[in-house]
Amino acid sequence: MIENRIDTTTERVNDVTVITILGDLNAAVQEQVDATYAAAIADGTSKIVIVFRAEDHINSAGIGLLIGLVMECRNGARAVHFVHPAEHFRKIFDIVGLSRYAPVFSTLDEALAHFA
Amino acid sequence: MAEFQRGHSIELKVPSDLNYERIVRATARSVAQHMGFAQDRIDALGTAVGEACSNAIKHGNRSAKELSVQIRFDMQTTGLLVEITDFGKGFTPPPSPDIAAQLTASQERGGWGIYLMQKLVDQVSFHINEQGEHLTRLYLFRKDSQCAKQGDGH
Repeated sequence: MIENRIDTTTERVNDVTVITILGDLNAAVQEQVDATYAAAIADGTSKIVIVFRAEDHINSAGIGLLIGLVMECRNGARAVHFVHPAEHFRKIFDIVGLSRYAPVFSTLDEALAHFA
Repeated sequence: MAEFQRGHSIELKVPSDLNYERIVRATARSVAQHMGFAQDRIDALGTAVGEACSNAIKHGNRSAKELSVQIRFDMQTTGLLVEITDFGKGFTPPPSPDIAAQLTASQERGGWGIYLMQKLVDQVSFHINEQGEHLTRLYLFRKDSQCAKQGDGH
């Protein structure tokens, strides 16, 4: 059976917390994403970058999940940027309007530079 | 389009389990690729078909694993028609999602699946067939087809 799970890593780059998500983003991974986010903000970070891999899929439930994350960040006065190497998903972020609230970049370097 | 593809179709039948959605999505991408669609159109179709398949599993068949979802890829001269059939009775399309409203919780989060389908492929329609089953029809026109030029339906 195909598994629906993700792996995440969290690292600090200067004053920015970088969360990398490996795997498809959908409703099945909501708890994992929420737990990762909660752990990542425990140190009071105010700048977050969420990085995806080009080959991983984000469905509409995953979009809803990201909207929830952006809402959490806004409520906590945290800035959040997204990095997706795939043009298709950057386009989807534009279609749903997510990029109006969280800038979207194709590389981590670009996202970090935007924070500098 | 290669001559042998005209008028041909491919059918899949998958259990109502969301784990199979990615197989349907991969098949959609593969068919579109073999028909010569550009990469951005292949990506768009894959996402739209995935959303339609997820809806069929979750809402149409209510994830009842004994019920299957049938997907038919109809390779036509004017483009690719994808039909997703489930055992639902149809639905009233939800209002368009509004991210600003969802960020302030004045609109319930979600509702992006149909919205994405409509934005990503050339035509989306919903039907009840003669057997009383629910049918989602997605169409991706070939850019050089007369339908695409006229913005006309199939």
